[in-house]
Amino acid sequence: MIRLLLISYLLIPGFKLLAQDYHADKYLKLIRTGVFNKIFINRQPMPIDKFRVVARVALETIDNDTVEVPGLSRAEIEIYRTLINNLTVIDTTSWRDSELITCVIVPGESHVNVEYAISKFKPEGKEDVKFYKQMVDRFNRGSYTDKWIYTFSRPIIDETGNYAVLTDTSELNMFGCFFYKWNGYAWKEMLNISTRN
Amino acid sequence: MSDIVNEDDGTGGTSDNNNREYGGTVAENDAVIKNKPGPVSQPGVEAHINLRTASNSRSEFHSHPSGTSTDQDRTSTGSTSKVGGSTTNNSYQSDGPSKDDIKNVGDRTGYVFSMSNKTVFIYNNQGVTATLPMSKFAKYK
Repeated sequence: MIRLLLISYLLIPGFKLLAQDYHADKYLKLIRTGVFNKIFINRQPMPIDKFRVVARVALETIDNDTVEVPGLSRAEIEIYRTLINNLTVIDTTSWRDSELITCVIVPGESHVNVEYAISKFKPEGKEDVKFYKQMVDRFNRGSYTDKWIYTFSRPIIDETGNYAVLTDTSELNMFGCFFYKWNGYAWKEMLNISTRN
Repeated sequence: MSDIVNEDDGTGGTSDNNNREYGGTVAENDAVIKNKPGPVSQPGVEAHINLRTASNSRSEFHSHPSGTSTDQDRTSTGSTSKVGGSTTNNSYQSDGPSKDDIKNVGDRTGYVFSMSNKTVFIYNNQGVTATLPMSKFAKYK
């Protein structure tokens, strides 16, 4: 009996660590699936009030639509609705480069360091380097509305860990709301309601 | 697709039909699903449409109106896709896909119908892959 207790005492923290790693890995996978590559991202994630506005527009779009959502049952859509409507707090921890490995994280309206941006965009040749340098230069010279920075929310995930919502906004009040479902090894975008202009 | 975007008759002017975006998606089984048209744009305000794509959507499409608002340069890229958009259209909408169009297309194929010059732009998340006249675009009426 004492041996059993001792073994449990030793193993349980190990299992907890494994579980933590699993959830951290899953979270990172969601971010990397949901946040688009090679764009300028506002370091500050979307606050809850903006998240609510975007997500509720998306819910209205679903409600006004007569077409079924393939791969999602009505009950699953209700999970997303509950998740959005019951949200009281959202993580607004600044984005880190280790999370967004192919995006340039922009602190507010400040300039972007060219070397930093090039290192994130990972150009494949001299032509790419030239293109990205010109792009960063244009970005740095442009007014705030010319910069075209995307602000992403940190994802919200339901308590089962299998359903998640992520939103973004860009200039001119364009928005996107993306509904994800975990299929056991990856996040799959089930529904994407976003602006085209 | 063509039947849906042709609600804008391409003649420009200030009519509601020619100053809003039309669009939808194409499912894996080739079903074309029309989305609710975007709001009528006001002069100086860019037209847009909220597209709804699902996991079985393999293509999406939308129109750029032929209406007569002023132009806006959208050649500078917020996404880094090397897209050459037009800057000289007499419409507020440029010819090709915008930065948001390219960012949001994901792994699907996108089609932008420029109604002012009757051109189709085919694109993916890297940029424009082909352009052709709408008259030659017979796919998915």
